[in-house]
Formats: sequence, structure tokens, C-alpha cells
Amino acid sequence: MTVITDPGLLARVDALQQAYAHALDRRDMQGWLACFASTGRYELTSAENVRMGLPVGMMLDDCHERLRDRVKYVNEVWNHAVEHYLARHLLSRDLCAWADDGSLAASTNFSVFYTNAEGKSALLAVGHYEDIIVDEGGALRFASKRAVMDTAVPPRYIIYPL
Amino acid sequence: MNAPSRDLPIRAWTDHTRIPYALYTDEAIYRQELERIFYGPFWQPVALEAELPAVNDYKTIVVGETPLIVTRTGADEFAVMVNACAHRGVQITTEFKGTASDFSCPYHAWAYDNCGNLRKVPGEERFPENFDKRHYGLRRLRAVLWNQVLWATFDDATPPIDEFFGEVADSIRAALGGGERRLKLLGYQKIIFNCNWKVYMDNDGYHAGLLHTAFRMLNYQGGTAPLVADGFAGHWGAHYGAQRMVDNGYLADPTLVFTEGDEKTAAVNLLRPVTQVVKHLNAINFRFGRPLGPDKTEVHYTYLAFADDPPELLQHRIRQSANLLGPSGFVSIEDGSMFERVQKAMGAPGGEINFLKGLKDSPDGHRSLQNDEAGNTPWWRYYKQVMGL
Repeated sequence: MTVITDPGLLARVDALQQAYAHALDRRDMQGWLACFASTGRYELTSAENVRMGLPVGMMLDDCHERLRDRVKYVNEVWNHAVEHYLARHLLSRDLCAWADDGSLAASTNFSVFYTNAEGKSALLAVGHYEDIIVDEGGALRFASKRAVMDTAVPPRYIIYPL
Repeated sequence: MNAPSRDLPIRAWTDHTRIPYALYTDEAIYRQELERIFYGPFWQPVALEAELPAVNDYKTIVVGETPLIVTRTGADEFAVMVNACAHRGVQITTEFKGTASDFSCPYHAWAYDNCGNLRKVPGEERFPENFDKRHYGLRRLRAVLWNQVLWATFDDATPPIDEFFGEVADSIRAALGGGERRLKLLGYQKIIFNCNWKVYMDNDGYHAGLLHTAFRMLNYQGGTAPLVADGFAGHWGAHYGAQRMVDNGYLADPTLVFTEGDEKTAAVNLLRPVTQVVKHLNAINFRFGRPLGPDKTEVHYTYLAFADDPPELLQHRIRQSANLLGPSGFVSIEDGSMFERVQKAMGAPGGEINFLKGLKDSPDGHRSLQNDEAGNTPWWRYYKQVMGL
């Protein structure tokens, strides 16, 4: 692992993370999907599962087809019955490094707050992303985004990816 | 056996198919439930064998409001203890899981073996003459291993476990692979539902085709399987031939709803007070529940595979478990939404929950259909009795 210090590259990584959070905070699932590479995967799990080496967490989209299906879940399938909330992502870059295989590995802390229809807000989850980022046609994309929640027991059911 | 309740908000509850809202919201009702149900004559799950694969593995869990330590003390031996030092009541461990052959309380270094026997006490020479270590072990609960699940009870009067589950034992066994195949742990989805534990448990098959858009999008009709409500407290179990889902092109990755191998049946079980055991398609899911007061319920969805699964099937099980039937599941996220919307509406004075569908043909609810709600009523009949209401 070689830590990345190039400010230009770090700015591009930050812009990708911001675009990701921006899309989720506006429930723009197409915008969320656009942050992933064509071979992209997404996972939401708890630090507890990770520590125990257990593969099943809260969400697992391990291919682009599943990422596209998740857009459908949110926009079409669940839309009428779930109690929607507004998400608010606060991100903080932790570390960016070149992995041994030449890919860019990024660790980013997150806290996600939610506000319900009554206007009451609380913390949904705190944790960190472990991401693999690739350059696809001149734009950075997530080849893999893994959201690891320190929050093993969220205070309500989670509808949208974190 | 059950003295009438005093100082509860329920005065004239006569019909166990119509449930007053107050039973889902009232603090005094909740306190009495802890005493008569959670610490009463019920077997409640505290661990899956698969969670503690090796000798000296332990986990902690809360039953009712009592923190417990569950240890594997031998090949087929387990101990279930209250997680409180016999000396001054300190929690012995705060970890969810670990491995330990003994436990030492950090406060005054009282040391216990993993069966809860007190082994070492500093400064014992200055204790009263009659002090005897044998009387200062951790409180042990009666426990029994049944279908690769460890069940415990606080009450000496709890009937034998086969009797406790009655005819529902068959569908519990079916959900857990029939009893012959070893289970293996895949992971946890833990969640809080903002509803009373009984709202979470009132769920049934009547809503499946009506609420779940996923089934409609997939043109999935489900089935009308026979359902049995039986055992000591009106447990609810359905074991049925599950119709396979057919890819209709809606999902880009239809493997989410595919059934692999020869697992042709589904089993859904609601076990009183607050446990659910479900096998649907290839997802095997054991749900430990826990009330957090009258208006919140914590559920630990625990996913399993068979230890002898070939690699492709194991991978399929992992992928299906993560996205299909959990609190954020493609099919089941709407259940959690309904639980919370029911709870929010329950502030209305004099309101009640009504169970109707299926009672025409099954007035006692003992045998009904999976997509009815009559199967909930034997539980409520029992609840009324055990609560003395």
C-alpha cells in the first residue's frame, strides 16, 4: 500500500464520493447507479459481521444487474408502502492508497442522519466505506463500494443504500 | 393459575379475536408480560449451535430484559447463565461473542468457570464464617438443545419442549433442514422495529399477495397451504410445497428469487413469545426477538446454510439471504413498514385490532390456511389466560 498524496487525484476521489452522497441525499437512484463502474458491486454490512468473517449483511449487490435492480426496488417496488425518510450523508476522507494490485483503495468515514415525514431527525448509522476506485473512460467510478456500519443495530429499517 | 391483574387498563376484554390497542402500548401491561411470559413458562432460543461451533465459545443475548451468557462447555453441552456477578451484580462480559474457558468479574476479580461455578475469590479470609463458594455461582437457566437450537427457560413449570411446540415442531424442523444436516452461520441483520413485540408477531399470510409489490411484479401467486396453530401457546407453523418463482423478466438478476437444488418446500414459524423461523426458497433464517419496552422490538435475523452445501449453492444462499427476506429485503421491507404504521396509529382511545379472515371455517384457529389470519387467534386466547385478563 502506497499512500496517495497527489492533490489532483485526491480531489477527483473526493468529487466521486460527493457525487455519491449527493445522489443519495436527493433519493436519486440513477445518480447513485452512475457512480459505479460497469463491473461495480455494492455491499452494506456491519463491522460486527466483518469482524466475525460472516458474508451476509444488510444488502449485497455483487454485480451490475443487482445494482440496477436496487434502483427498481426503491423507485418502483417499495415506493407505495415504506415510510420514506430524508437521508443526509456526512463524509470524511480517511485514507487513499495504491493497493498492491495497482487499484486505488479508499477508506472514508460516514455518518448518515435521517429525517422522517414528521420532521424528526436522528442518526441512522455511523461507519466507514472501503472502496475500490477505477478510472473508466476518464471518469472515476466504484469498482466496489462496501459500507461497513459500526452501528450493528440501526434504529429503523434502512430503505436506501448508505 | 393466573391471578387476575390489578391496575391494568383493560377492564372488560372478552373477545380474543379483537385486541384492545392498550395491550400494545401500555407500560404496566409490558411489565406484566415480562413477569408472566418472558420469565414465565416459555422456551426461548438463546443460541444456535452454529453460533458457538467450538468448545469454550460464548455469546451474550438478552431475554426479556435479562442479559445472559451462553457458553459451549463440551461437545454437546451448553450453559446458560445470567450475565451478572453473584457478588455485586456487575455484567461479567460486554462482548457479543468470544471464546473463554472462564470468566473473571473486573470489579473484585471473582472468577467463574464457564459453567458459572465460582472458583476464586480474593480476600475470602475476611468473609463471614459461613461463606460457601458453592452458593455464589452465576444463576443458571434450564436449557435444552433441540433442532440445533439452544432453548432456555426461567420457569420450573415450563413443559417439555416437544409438548411446548406440539404439532408445530414439524415445521420448525423443516425450516432448519429436517434435523439431519448440520447448519452453518452466514451472518446477521440486526434491526429495531418501532413497534410492540406483539405487532411484529401478529404478522401472517393474509397480506402476502396484497402488500408485497415484489410478488405482483414477479407475477408470483404464492399458495394456500394448510397452517397449524398449536402447542402450549398457540405457536403458528406452516410447512408447504412452495411454488417456484418463474423469471418474468422484471429483475435484471432473477437468481434472487430462484430455488436451487431440491429444496421444494417452505416453512414459516411464529413461535411465542417473539421468535420466527423461516425457510423460503434457499434462505434459512432464524430470528431472535427482544422487546425494548412497549413500543420497540429488536430483531436479530440470523442466516444459515448447511455445512455440506456445495460451493455454488452456498454462494447462492449468501446472495439470496442478503437481499430477499430481511428488514431491507426485496419482498419483506414492507412488513417492517406496516409494523411501525400500526404502532403509530395505536394512540386512539378504545381502538382495537381485529382478526377476521379464516374464522368462518376455523373458529378455533387451530387449523386454517396460510393466507388467513385465524391462526393468530389461539395465541391470543392463550395470552388472555396467561396474563389473567
